[in-house]
Amino acid sequence: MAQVQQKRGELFPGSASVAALTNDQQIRLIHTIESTDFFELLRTHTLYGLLGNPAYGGNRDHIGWKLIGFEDRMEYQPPFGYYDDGGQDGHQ
Amino acid sequence: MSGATFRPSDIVDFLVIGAGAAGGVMAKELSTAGFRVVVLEQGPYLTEKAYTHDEIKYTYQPGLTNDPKVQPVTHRKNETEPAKPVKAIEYGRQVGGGSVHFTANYWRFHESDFEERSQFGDVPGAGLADWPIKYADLEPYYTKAEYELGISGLGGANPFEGPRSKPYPLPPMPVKSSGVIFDRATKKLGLHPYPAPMAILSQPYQGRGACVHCGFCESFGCEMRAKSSTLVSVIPVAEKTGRCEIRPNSYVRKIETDAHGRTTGAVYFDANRREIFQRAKAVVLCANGAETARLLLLSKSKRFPQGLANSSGLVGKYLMWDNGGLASGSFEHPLNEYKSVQVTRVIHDYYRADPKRGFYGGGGIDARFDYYPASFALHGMPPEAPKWGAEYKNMLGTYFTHTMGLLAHTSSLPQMRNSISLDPVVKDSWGLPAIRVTFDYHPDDIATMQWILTKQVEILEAAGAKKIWTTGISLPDMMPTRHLMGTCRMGDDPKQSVVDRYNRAHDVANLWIVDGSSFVTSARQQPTATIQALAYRAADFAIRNAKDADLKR
Repeated sequence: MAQVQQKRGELFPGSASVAALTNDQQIRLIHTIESTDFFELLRTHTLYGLLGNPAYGGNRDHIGWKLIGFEDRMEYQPPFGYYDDGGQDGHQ
Repeated sequence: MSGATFRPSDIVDFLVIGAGAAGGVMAKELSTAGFRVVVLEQGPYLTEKAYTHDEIKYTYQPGLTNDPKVQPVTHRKNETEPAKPVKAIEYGRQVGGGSVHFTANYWRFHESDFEERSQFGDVPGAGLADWPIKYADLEPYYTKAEYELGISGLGGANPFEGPRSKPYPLPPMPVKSSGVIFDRATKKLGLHPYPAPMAILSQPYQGRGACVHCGFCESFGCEMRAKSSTLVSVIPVAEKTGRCEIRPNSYVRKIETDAHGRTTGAVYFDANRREIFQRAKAVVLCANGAETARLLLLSKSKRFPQGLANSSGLVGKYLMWDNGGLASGSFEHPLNEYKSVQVTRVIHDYYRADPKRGFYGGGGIDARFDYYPASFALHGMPPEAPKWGAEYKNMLGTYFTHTMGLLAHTSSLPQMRNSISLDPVVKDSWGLPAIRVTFDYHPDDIATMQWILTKQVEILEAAGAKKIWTTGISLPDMMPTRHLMGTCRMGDDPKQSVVDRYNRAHDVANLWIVDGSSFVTSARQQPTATIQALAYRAADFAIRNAKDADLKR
């Protein structure tokens, strides 16, 4: 965390916090830390938050599940997808 | 949860250790035959009411499996390395064991699997051996297991399988898009796809309802009781006899023996960590290929200084691994593979080992998708995809619904140097030595995985996948192993094996060892059907044996 703040200070002198940076600045900052263990942990927990059970407080209104096309139902009936619905593979 | 209740001082007929795939079968067979049975299970007694679709709980926390925080496991590749804590093995840890959270693939072994040493010859560096039994010895018990548990499939559809005395009791599960694509591509290549045999109900069976295709099978307990675990099939039958007590939260630390070298019961810690000695006329050890070996090694005594049933020195040896790589492909239209059971089509065309390839091994390939939303985002995307940012988010929106995988299930050679032993330093939270895993691949294991991976890619190419990528097969990628095979191998010679052809310990007349530990070879993974067939067969023998004289003192 301290290293991230230090990087922020170096890249954007005078900035107050990561949250206060513009989108473009945040993206530039993340590029400098993306191969660190800290970023891997951050990424993992962000994805748990985006795609995990909403009971944990993230994925509000199933926004993550909607993004990836996961329906979250207890029950489905076939056909499940295009190819088991008689759809033809374009490469036949 | 309505069985008998026994006191520890009661000398019951059989004490079963482990209420999993094998222990559940043993409990049912022995109790319905009239014996009094106590089953000690280290995990809790959960039911379908406790299960949820919570991915974080079941795939990222040990919801239904061994927790390395309380039961650490260490691993080293060979004896010269220090063993480091890592979750190298994983097993089900509740009543029903691994049969609760497994993917439910239910393959029979082939006839050739029992005699590969004779057919293939010696493999340098490995202890390849024939089983003392043949497929024909197990066939009636495979059939019995399929009918008692409830297996869906199409008998005779796999041209490489051995003869069957009966078709499956239930028709196969409906095919998914991955199955349709795989079916078409493999037929184009002249291969022989067939409907996956699954321990999941395609139709109502024995008072349980059919699968509703929610898709949460692998790693999850079934909320609909449609997955044919021992928890919902045979264990309720055992309890109904009024002669079987399932005792959860009971962590066994030692099997006791008397001056004649016979088992007298086992000492376990209850939920409050009090030590209790349950007496029994015979013990059936069904704790899985890792914990069974550990418990035998922990059960040292003056008479058995190397550990119980270990005069051969082979307890813990010949551990085999859950081998096989994954190739993934994305397609033009949505597959929605997150719906329904993971697997609907399989091929066994590359199953047999062939000396002409220059290495031992073979495997089956199935079409599947075993990711859930978060695990797909973390591990399921193509390796060159960005790991974050707008482009990553866009790709995730397409790939989750448009991707399928081809997973190989390949041979793992038995090697004496691969083992389960007691860690000399690391202890579990009860103060007992942790499991130490010593394991590294045989070169032929790697050659087989690499060779099959080219076949997996070839099938995805024939299927017209838009993009194809593979995941690594190096050892850290293949942890934890969930197919715990070997460690108490079966054989006729007490110097070369731990149990006899009926799963009875050579050294101890009233001790049966029934789980993946007795496997002589790994076949091509998917061990559950064979574990359960062996259990039915061992129970048959134990019942006949007990009715004669062996259980009398």
